[in-house]
Amino acid sequence: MSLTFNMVGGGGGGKLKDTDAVLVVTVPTGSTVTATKGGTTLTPTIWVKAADQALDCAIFSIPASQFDSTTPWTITATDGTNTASKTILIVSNKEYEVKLSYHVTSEYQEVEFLQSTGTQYIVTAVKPSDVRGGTFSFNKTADVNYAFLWGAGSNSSNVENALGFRISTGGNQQTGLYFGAVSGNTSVTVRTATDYDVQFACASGSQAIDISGVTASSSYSGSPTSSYYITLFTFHYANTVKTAEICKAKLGHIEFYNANNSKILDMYPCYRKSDSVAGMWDKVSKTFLTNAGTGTFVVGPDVN
Amino acid sequence: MKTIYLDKDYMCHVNNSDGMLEIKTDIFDSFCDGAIECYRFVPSGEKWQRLDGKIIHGQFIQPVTPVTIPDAVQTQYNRDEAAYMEELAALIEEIYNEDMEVIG
Repeated sequence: MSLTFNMVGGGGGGKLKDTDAVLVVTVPTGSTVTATKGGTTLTPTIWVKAADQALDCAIFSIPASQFDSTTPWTITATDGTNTASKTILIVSNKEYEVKLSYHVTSEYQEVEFLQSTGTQYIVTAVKPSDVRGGTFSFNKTADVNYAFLWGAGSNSSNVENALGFRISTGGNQQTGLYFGAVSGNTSVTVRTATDYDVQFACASGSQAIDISGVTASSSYSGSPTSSYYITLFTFHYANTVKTAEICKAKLGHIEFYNANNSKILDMYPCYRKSDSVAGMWDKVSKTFLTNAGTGTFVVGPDVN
Repeated sequence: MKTIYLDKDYMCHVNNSDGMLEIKTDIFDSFCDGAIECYRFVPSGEKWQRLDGKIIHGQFIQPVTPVTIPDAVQTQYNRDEAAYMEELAALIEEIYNEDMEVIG
């Protein structure tokens, strides 16, 4: 085995010995990484840019004298604010791969999604009046009439003064982004068993949504003044969560921005390692929000 | 509410075999049989130790195959069922029309 890499930022590259194990650690750009086992701490032999420009790969050359089938290496990355670590056994001159991110803290295991089967939901600490944009990914597994993926409304009418994203039709109400009123929604088609990545921006007189490349907009000049907290997997209005309309869907990472383009919610699906309880870790409030409904979320595969 | 059967690794099965644990749950109500067998279900109060030594506490449900597999199985099932319902509706309409001709 002989591998040659180009170094990040140019440089002459480097070569790793055939007899060494190669450990490739993918981290967010700007991180520093160490590999520690017992009293030995290694720094990367080479840094290379990952295909995703937001990530770098730290390449470690682990000599054969350090191969160990019982004591794992602890790989730690930090960007000065956040720290992430994982352990890995390195036993032969193969290539090993570790991915580290700062999406969740070390108490949690990130997963690809949380899936509600129709009775699970999460109440956030964000109100519609605070939100002026965001991104999220989802997959509707089955239709539930009128169901929202997330949202909150007012006292008198379920969509008046609302902000939310409806993924199933009901009566004459369409799927899409609701902003201020039922008449002001930005309608988009949502199919079952389809992965969607969504971006949206909303202000009075200007709403726009991009759902996996399909765009829609509205110039409705409403205002989402709801004072209820946005719920995930259903809708919250009149101080009541609509438990009869909890959607059946998978929800991945979701983030919301305020009028100053600052993140006010940045949630990653995960489960708590100590008891395997599923929920969303919010990087902004540094809180772990769990199911406020009944039953248990299905969790997606671990993100390694 | 569906009845599923769990092997010693808490893998889901829709048919019983010796030594399996029988569970009744509504978690899989909207899942077809093929998709159910792509999941691990650790019941409440139970623990499962992964190969890497980590302990998973029940209740915990997670696909054990790449998630595209249960999704594809479920999608195919939904299509087959929709096609079957269309065929059934067409057959009923054909019989109805034939009956109306006889009556008429």
